[in-house]
Amino acid sequence: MKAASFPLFSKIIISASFMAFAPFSLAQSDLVSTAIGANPSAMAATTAIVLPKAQNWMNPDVAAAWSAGYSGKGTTITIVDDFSNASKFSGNLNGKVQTQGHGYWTSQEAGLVAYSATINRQDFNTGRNTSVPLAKTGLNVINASYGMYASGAYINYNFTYGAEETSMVNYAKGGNAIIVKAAGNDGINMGTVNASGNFDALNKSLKGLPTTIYAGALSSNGTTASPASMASYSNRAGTDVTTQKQFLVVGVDSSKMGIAGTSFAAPIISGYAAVLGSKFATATPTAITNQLLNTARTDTLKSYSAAVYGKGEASLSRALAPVSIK
Amino acid sequence: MRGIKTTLINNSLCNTRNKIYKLLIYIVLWMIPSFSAHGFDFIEKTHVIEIRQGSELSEKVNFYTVGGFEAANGSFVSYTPWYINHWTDTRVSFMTQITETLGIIWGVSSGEVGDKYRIYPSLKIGVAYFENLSKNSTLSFKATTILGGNLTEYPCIADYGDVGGVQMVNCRMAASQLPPSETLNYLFNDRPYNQTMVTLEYKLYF
Repeated sequence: MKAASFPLFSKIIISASFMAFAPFSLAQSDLVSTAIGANPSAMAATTAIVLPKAQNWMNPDVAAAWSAGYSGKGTTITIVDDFSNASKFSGNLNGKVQTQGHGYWTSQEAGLVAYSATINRQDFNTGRNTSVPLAKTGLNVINASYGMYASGAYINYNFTYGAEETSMVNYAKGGNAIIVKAAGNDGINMGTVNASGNFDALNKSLKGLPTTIYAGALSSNGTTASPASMASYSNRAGTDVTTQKQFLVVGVDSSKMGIAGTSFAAPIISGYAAVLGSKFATATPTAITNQLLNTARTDTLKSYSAAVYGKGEASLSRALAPVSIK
Repeated sequence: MRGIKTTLINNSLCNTRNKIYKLLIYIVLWMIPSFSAHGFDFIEKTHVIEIRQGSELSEKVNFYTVGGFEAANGSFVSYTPWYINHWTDTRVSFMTQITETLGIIWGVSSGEVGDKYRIYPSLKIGVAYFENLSKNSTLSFKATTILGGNLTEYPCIADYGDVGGVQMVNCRMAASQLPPSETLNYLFNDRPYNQTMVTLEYKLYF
């Protein structure tokens, strides 16, 4: 199995920010996202990935909650990611080593967790100026395993984006879709600048919105017998209480998956949201967001602290369960 | 609607059960004069052929007397109080010889009750026929049927909070990925195993 790597999440962010900020003007206060070889039209492919087999990297929760046919049925997960970059890397999500690009990994992963969900793809290289389309029926989940970096000098600015990220922020604001955002791989507190002096503006724009979930990564799945720790690279919830209340962690076990990064935490949570959306088909995205956040576990984490783990480790089985029953 | 359907099913099964009880009473009343007149004869010609505590349906439910699931707050919800029985289904069957070759099979079972299920009492009736075809061959025929004895499972009422509200659900599947309304399709509603049996046996000795 190849060594774990953090290639595409970081590379995308860094290259995007440099490209975006060469022409940047303070007067504009725009964050111009990169479109390398831009094609204004978005590439959106609808793929229903049906792989009904619990994988060894999945939380025992998921395997235990596995039942016939319903995982994400009637819901849609849209993966906004890099689907056109030639850069590929190897990993193992379904029992065999594969080599593919970042967006294909995240969409495959979400599809393995919610195997009956419809998986749509939007290439952020070509889709910057296109709103993310939503399915007309059923829960919509948007997975964003990337960031929009800006210089720390602008950390107090309000940013505007192209149509793609603007639509995502608006969906989170209006509760129209759940936005699962990878927390970032700088090993810092959310909302602070990294070693390069940059920060993720998209994280800031999504903060406090009703259907935002930030996804941090644990080094493994946690159990009460063997509590998990934060992956060294994963951003932490930080001191801001609003961010803490929207922050979840899940295991990204690179020893099993061959890949690592909060990019691969977000699709797991996206899959969880889709599974919930198929069970509670009339629930709003806000209700499902809150269900995931409020049923997170802290007893499976080593030295739990909200500043590190936010709400805690996402628990699909508890999110599916009733509060009381008689 | 599901609640109404469950009530209608319960009422229908209650009616069947009442009919079985009435049939049993008629049989007993018929047997009393027979007994009086031929009491010893009847007893001499009646043999116990089965005493059994527990049944396939009983075992099916018994599987759920252990286990459970975690509620949304992490507390453990055990299946045990719902599926443990207060009395295990017990069957006694007899055969009463009518002629040299013909017998009547008859029996009753007590049924079984738990908090979330019921196995209804039943009546078993049948015939048995035996013939010596030749010096070294025999033919036997047996046919039995069981009236009543169905297994019915009752749903739970679960509160899923803001995400799902209060819903009727299959107790065993309340924490599954299935929508609560779908889980009701998996409630036990079984007939007795081997409800009707017919056996024909030919033996040749050499």
